[in-house]
Amino acid sequence: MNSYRQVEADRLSSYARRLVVITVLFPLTLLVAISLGAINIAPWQMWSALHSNNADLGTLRTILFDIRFPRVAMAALIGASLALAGAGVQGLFRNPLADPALIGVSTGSAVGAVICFYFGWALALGGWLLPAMAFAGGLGAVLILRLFNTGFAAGGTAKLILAGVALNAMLGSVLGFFLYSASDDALRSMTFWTLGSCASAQWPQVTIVAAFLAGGSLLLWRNRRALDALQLGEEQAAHLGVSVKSVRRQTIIAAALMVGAATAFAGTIGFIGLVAPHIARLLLGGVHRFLLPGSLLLGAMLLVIADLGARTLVAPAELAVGILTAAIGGPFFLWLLRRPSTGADF
Amino acid sequence: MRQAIFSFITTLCLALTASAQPTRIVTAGSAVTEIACALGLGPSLVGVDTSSKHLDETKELPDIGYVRALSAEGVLSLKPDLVIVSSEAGPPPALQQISAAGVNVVTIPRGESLDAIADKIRAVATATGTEAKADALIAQTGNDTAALRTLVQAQKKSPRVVFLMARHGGNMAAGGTDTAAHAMIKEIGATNAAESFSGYKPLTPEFFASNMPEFIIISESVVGDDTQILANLPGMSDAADSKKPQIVRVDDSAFLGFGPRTPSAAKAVATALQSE
Repeated sequence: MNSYRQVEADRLSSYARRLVVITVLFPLTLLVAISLGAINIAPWQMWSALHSNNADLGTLRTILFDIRFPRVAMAALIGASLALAGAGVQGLFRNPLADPALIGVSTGSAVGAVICFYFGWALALGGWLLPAMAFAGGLGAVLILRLFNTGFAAGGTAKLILAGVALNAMLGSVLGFFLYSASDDALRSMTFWTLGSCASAQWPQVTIVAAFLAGGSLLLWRNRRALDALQLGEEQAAHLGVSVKSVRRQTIIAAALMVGAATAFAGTIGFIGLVAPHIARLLLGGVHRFLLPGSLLLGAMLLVIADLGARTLVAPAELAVGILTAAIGGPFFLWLLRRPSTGADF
Repeated sequence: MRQAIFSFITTLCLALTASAQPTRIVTAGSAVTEIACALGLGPSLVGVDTSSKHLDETKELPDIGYVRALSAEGVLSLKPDLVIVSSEAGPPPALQQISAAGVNVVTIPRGESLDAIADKIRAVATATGTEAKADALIAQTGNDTAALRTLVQAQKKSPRVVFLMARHGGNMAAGGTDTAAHAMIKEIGATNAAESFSGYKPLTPEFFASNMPEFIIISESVVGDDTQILANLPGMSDAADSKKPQIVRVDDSAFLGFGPRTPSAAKAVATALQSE
């Protein structure tokens, strides 16, 4: 018994060490992403650009303050939001293939955005109508899910998944209708939106995404032990004193808010919510105390790197970041699946 | 010696006054780029959007991407001193960021009519200080437009036509109202057979059963010969050979671009429709 405890303690402390390494790598990733771009700015140039009044460095300063900083911050926050929501939803459903899209947020947001493009409202209200409608669409979809799945409780999680599948199919047909009847310009914009981009990052938008991430991660962190208990099964968790209904409600609210805000400003970005929690699980195990912060950091790093590719690979033009997350995430996911034991650590 | 210094200073001053004129220009929107090139600014261009890559002057230039999804940093990396964009260019934050970096950003109204072309030319000329050349270009497009309208007025019939655009997967979509194609079909004195809907809609087999046009206008870039294209259109195989429409090919960047080449391209199409 003692030796078992020892092994368990060693395992946890090695997870803690890995989490520290990831935490150290995170700011380094940010620094690299900030100095690279269509115009490369070395860290020492960055320093002088920020601290001198030289007019020649003015352009550099604009690029750093108005373009590069908010852009990298946005990518990090959105990656963190999507990955954390993914970790929460996967824990809740006890299903490695669960994805925040399952609860209808992403498709709902897409419907909101596509309606906006269809009627040519994309630039209305100083460009704020589009994220507002996407956000409303995402939360609306989750509310519909709640309506048809009374109280999130009766019938349990399996019923919720089925309701999510049906809802996604319904929203998909609404999307299809608008895509089919859209004008060519609108169709182009819709395609770009559904592939995701961090290009519209400016400080006000960054602040909003950060606020939703803060709220969502607090809510999930409070439920970390309950999520651990849920891995034993809903009945066992209930015996351990966990209110399954409340965990389910809070996890879904947290995921919906974080994914809703992220999608509102960056469009639908796939694979981060699915793959980042898996990498975290592989490196840090399935205990949510490590898994949640690990997913947050890894998701942020993944999207920052993907976005770096999006803005540099075809410079001076830009790639849609969704193309890159799927291109990186897809093969990695397949590789995870063919490794015999590691993926099943939960 | 003194003369040498004097001439050096004169050259320097000339260089400085010349530098008031933009020397590194980025354009977005094919009409804007065509106008810039027609005004002799081709050598000053340092980057254009994807829709502007069809010209000889722009083929080798860096591509700044889709006109509605420009990257502020990408454009700034070309170190432009002037950015001229068509009004559909975006996203707005990117354009704001470019002008925040101290680069002059000029937006040219998109105007989808032949009469708007002169306004576009004038706006590009004012932004680039090439007003002298603009007068000649405006006169030329004005003459081309007048020639087209004379030709159209003398027409005895208004042929039924439809503009088809190739979509991915080899499908064809017909241009209804509220499209550049519709506006141009009116300009060449024809009747749009696809007037019952707006925007581009995929062809259905019923379309040709009830709306058989006399001519089909397609882009010259569509692959395949005329009989092949006709055979692939849904519902066309049921039609009698004598009723089948004729295919007219156009350079769509000229015909639908509302740039300096549009009036003469339209005149060529109008002539083709009447020659049958």
